[in-house]
Amino acid sequence: MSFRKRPDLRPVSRFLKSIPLWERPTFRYPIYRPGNPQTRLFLPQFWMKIMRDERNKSPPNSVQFEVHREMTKHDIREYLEKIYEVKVLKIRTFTIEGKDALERAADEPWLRTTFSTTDFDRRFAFVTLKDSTFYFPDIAKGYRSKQNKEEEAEKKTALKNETESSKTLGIPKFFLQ
Amino acid sequence: MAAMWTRKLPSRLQSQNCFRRLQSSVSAVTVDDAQERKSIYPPIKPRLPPGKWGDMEPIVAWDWYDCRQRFLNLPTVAERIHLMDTEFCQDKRCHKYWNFPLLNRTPGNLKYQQIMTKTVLKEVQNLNGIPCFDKIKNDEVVDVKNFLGPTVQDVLTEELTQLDRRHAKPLLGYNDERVTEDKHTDIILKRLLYVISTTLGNKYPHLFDMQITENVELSAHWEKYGIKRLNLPNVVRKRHPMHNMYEMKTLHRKRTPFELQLNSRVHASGKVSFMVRSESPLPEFSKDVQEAHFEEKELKEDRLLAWEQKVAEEKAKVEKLGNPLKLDKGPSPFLYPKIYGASFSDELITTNPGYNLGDPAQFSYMFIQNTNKNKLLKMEQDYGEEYASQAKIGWGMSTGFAWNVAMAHYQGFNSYVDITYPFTNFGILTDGKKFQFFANQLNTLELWKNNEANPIHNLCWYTPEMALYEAIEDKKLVNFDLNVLEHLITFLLCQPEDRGYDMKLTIPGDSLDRVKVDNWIEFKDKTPVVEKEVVYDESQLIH
Repeated sequence: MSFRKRPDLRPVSRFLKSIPLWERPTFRYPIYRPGNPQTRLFLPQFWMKIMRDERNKSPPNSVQFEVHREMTKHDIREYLEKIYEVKVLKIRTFTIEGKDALERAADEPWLRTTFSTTDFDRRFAFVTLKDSTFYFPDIAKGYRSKQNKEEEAEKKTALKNETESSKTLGIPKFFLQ
Repeated sequence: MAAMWTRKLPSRLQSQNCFRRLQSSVSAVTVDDAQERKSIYPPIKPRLPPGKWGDMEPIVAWDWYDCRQRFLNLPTVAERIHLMDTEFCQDKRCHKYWNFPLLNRTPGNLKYQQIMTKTVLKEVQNLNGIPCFDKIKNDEVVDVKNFLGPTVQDVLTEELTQLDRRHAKPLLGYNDERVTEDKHTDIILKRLLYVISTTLGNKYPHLFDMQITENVELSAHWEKYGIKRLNLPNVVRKRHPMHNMYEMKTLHRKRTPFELQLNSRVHASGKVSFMVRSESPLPEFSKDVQEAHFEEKELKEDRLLAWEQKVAEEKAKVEKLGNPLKLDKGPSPFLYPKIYGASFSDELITTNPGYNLGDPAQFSYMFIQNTNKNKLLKMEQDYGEEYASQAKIGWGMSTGFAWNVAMAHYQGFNSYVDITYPFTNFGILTDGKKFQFFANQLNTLELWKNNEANPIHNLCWYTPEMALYEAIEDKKLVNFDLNVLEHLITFLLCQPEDRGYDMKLTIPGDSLDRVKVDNWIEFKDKTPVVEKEVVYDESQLIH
């Protein structure tokens, strides 16, 4: 006879299903009971997204993240130190509350029926690193090189056309046709 | 329409005009007339007021200049401070100010503190290198050291071994008798100060006269260049002018100086464990401020330095390959104190150097900060010893700076009226065991100017932390270091003197502040009470 509570395996409710996976609140962590094996949650829904510092105003040893809205400072530290082996000096977090709004039905917007909606809260973390610096990678580099190649190719074709047209001593094309 | 205007003119004037026209048509123009007709224009206002202004907008520069004149017109210090607190307060001039705690506990903020106070730090092994210590003789120092050493040892051993100071919390009820560790170090420091002033007071009168105050509140404020002002009035946030009423309403006019300012107020406040003051100031530590060693790197943010390095690397690459230089958008040149953990507020603030106006002991001599605080211990636990020691250096520097600034305000100067001579003070950070020594010098209050316009900077020398003794064994101090005591003695022997120039130069000669007050309490003249003897007269009795 064990007193251990079995893991919650009920299907996700219809309400929660409407929320995208990354925005969903985390599962409640199983309560600790003495004895083995423990029930554990192996795949928490935590995530961290690096943000670009648009005005480039923060010091080089700091990184800005948007994180799952239930992550605490402790979680963020653990996430970075255990998974990525990055030494963290200090963390500053803050949340932005989601705004309320009245919306009309998407399928029948001419009807007067409205329903209130709220955006999700967003949580941000400014992390200062210990003994290391961070630069936001140049994401558009590959795209830019591709674009440059295309531009060069266009220029070449344009040059070719020009050289061809230059043989006609300045007579416009429409005249030739 | 024209008829309407003519009708408005009085008839007499109209007739005069007519006469003139007739006269001019008749007579020839004489030489005298031509001279009379020379038009006299009002004097042309130059683009910028006198002085260096850097890249500042002319309207803003004139605003600063006019404010300065306004302050200079006030004859007393009290009036100037009152004007600063009422007309130039945060509601009207800068709206919000950045808080600048003396002990900044965010790790790695030393450089930020340096930038905000525009001070250059110099680490020295001995403070004897500062020119003001030249006058002190070595023999004198040795004499005092030998005299003071045993007494200091006595005090320390008595406090640490013999006396029973209760550190623990009592079991029940009354908490009054409890002495925490930091309070105990306060007691030790206080005893040491009194011992020094009483034993050496006979020989050195300046030590006997000095005023010691305990647990003093200190607050000062100044303007710093390069920080954008927070929340202009009626502007909630930056939006399209269509939504923003303030911007929409002000589109038709030029920007006011208030809106064009690129500086914001910084307010330092905190407590100082001990303040020692004297009637005359300490000598200047270094006289040639302009020639002092100062590189721009020292007062530049790390992110800007990193960007410069990156640009240099890219340039080197490009030169090799021969391609054109392509760079991303560079970092913003402004300072954002929020990133360094600073907060802002908009309450009313004043300057407070730790004494009231009119106090005879109006110059700083030395401050002592007790480092035996839980806050610092917590910082050591969280971030490590390296960052804690950095915070201590910043603490010593910023307390010295803030005290100098507040003191300058009480001499009639402020950020509008720049100081005419440097302010100096000494500082010590101790927990009773480890000592760190500081020497601060304030050279300018014009921190709101560009570095190009005002290249002068403030100075701070400091020593590494030194232990006075290692431990206590068998009720005795182990390895009592007399060299550490020597630092303290050099501080004490550096006598405050009259500098030979006017200390309140901006205040007029007939001002009330110039009057030296000797009798602080006016005694009432005793009026002799006349007692008349009443003679009993029987004849006046009514029968």
